[in-house]
Amino acid sequence: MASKIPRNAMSLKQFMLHQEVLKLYRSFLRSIKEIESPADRQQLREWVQSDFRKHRHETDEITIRNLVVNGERALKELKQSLALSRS
Amino acid sequence: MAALVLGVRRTLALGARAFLTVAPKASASGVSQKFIHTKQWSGSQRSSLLVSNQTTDLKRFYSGGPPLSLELIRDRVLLVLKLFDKINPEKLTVDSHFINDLGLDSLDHVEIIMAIEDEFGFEIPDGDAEKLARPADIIRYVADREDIYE
Repeated sequence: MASKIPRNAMSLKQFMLHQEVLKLYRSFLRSIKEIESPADRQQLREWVQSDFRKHRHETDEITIRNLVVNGERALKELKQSLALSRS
Repeated sequence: MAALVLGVRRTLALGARAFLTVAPKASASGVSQKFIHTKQWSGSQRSSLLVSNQTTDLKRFYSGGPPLSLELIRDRVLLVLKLFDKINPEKLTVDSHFINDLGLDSLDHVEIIMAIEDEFGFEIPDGDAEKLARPADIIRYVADREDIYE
């Protein structure tokens, strides 16, 4: 206990990636809230939750980055179809 | 708040002026002036001239609910947390740490913050959300935002 930093603390790089993932998760949930049909909303929510949770023990930086990029692409698609359904 | 009240007053005054122009017709059917005022707020209601409980219904068209108190905020926050499926309601106290004591992960934390946003109807910025690690922190944050002090 010489150092004040906990042993399992993340490095800066890991921390930033972690923040990025959480931000993506948050924007997913925010977008999903805009879906009108309650059944679709519930389904999509569970789908996103299980997808994020499936990879929760991922440690390899490159894999995580790939997943984030995929997620961002999916989020963009979701937002586009939401905008389309509203117009 | 005062500005809002003023704005409402002004609209009401406008309504009164509009009333003057339709006054002959309205007074012929014996409608109170109050009704003409309320009519523009209750667009979703049927415009039957015979509805007399307009003034009691009017309350729900304003934004203000019952004033929040610290206890009310605490109860609402704890209720939201108890209904969150991954939290064990028996373990939950105001001072339990979400991640260390209740065994949640950071994804659950994001979900909790979103649930709190839904409950109180405002958005919590990402930077603030990270600091809300215990129910007590959330209660203080909401109270600060609503200008409630003990």
